Amino acid sequence: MSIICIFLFVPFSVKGQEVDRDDPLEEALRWERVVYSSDDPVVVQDALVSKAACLARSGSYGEALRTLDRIRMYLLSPEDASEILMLKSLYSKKLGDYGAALGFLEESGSAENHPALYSVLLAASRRFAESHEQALRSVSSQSEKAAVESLFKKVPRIKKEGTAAALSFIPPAGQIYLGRPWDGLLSMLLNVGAAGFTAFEIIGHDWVTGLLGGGLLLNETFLKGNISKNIASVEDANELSVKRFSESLEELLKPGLNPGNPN
Amino acid sequence: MPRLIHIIILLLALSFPAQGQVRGILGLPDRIMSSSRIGRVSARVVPTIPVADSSRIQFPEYGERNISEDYDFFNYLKDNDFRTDAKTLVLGSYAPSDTLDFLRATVLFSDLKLAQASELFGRVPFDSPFGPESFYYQVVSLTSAGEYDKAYGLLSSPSIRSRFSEGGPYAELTALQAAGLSLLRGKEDEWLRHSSSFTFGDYALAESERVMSEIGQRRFSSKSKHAGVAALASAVIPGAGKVYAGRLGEGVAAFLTIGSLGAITAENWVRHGGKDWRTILAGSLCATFYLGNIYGSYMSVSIENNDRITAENTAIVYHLHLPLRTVFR
Repeated sequence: MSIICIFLFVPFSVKGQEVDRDDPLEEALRWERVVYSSDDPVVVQDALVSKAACLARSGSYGEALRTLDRIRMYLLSPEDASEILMLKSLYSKKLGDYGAALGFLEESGSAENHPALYSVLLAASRRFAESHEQALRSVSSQSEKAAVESLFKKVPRIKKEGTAAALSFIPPAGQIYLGRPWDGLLSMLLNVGAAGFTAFEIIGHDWVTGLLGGGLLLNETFLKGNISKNIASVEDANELSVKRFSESLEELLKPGLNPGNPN
Repeated sequence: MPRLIHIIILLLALSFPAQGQVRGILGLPDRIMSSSRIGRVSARVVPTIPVADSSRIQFPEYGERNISEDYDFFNYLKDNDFRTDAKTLVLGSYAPSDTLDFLRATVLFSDLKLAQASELFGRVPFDSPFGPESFYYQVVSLTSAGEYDKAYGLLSSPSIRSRFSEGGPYAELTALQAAGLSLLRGKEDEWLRHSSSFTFGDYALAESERVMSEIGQRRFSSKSKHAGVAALASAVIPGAGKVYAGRLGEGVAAFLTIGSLGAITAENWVRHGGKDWRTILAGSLCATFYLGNIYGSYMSVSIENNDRITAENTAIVYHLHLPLRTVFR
């Protein structure tokens, strides 16, 4: 039986003391007392795993993760180390740190055994091809496979800052590229107005008004309102589209998730 | 009178200036100029004192067990920064004692429950083993909660004064805390009296004494910037008030914008006459930005002064706390 099973679900007494199962923080403290008073590294390691499980039950995933970080991995067997890394992956996911969760899952060497979780973490890390492969592995029925295929047809296209910047020179191409066509239309109207004003003034030999006034206007509408704004919003647009896709995938693969319930 | 003018300007601005940026309708031209690439060079972050948590922890009924049995375990938890465990431990049912009050207060202090921490620190008698530490932490708790007068009142109480009238191990620490509180309360005479006890020789206190001396010199010198000077400077040379306020980027951005609008107005005046709509439009814009810059410069100095005082106060509170960690190690 793995350490997770042993320390998540079995012992609720420490050195003969009955532990109040309803208060995970008190239970965590009792395990910490074991760590404090014991010289046996095996007992200490086990107590730390148990403490982390208690903290996770109380919703303190950050502290649970820090408790697992105190475990000396080199003292563990490969199987136990893998289980600890798996727990770290689950706690990191609960904390919303999908990158770290993926790292721990891959390091555990058991990622292939949890294809649903692996698929969601890969998608959140923008590795869509691998995520697609794992998602298909995680489902068995034809209808589920069809749903996965259908979802992966709508894989978000990761936008590039360079492309957004280059397209921004032709309003509203940058905004259309970022999926904001109405902003693009407004930006185009403002820029055409500013450019028209500049040209009109220069043709009318109002050089100062044309060059300086047009320069001020175009600084607002073109440089700040168009190019800078588009470049600044690329990462936000990417994060939003990846988040939405990952959430849809997580919803679809829900039955296959939760390999070792961190609670 | 200057204060009245300041209040009127604030009311006109419709909202009080927050850190960093001039707000309100009058501040709009200023914000447009400051948001340019050149203007943004001036952006900065001001450290602030953490906000106290006013909620209270309900402690359980007292029990039989003595907390001193777990004192070493508590220190182990505290030294390793296992705050949740330390909190859970002192939330246990223990027999009433000064030690229990002190340990509970310590945990509350870490949790920023400063009012409740101050109450518990205050319960520990000065003559008990944790008395001096509790006393100085109570002062820091009250100070962090913004209750400067109350904290100063504790330090200047007759019992403390008589205790330290002939020096002793905590005399200089008391002087340091009293001096810091004098700075926070803006009392120059008290500051001069207490800071005269600084020796800069005790390694636990020297750094804090040096920092407070620097802040004291700045705070009570007449070198602080005046908002009126900034407004006047911007009226003479657009953007100069911003430079005076320490915002070079915003000053340059204002100078270029208002200069350009002025040039446009002049060109339209020469080519189309003073009553032409283009001249009036350009002139109105120029005037709006010119006035906006004067207003923005005035407010920027107020904001800069406010930010500087906030940063200094944060440093003072930090340096009231810092020596305690070494003194009571």
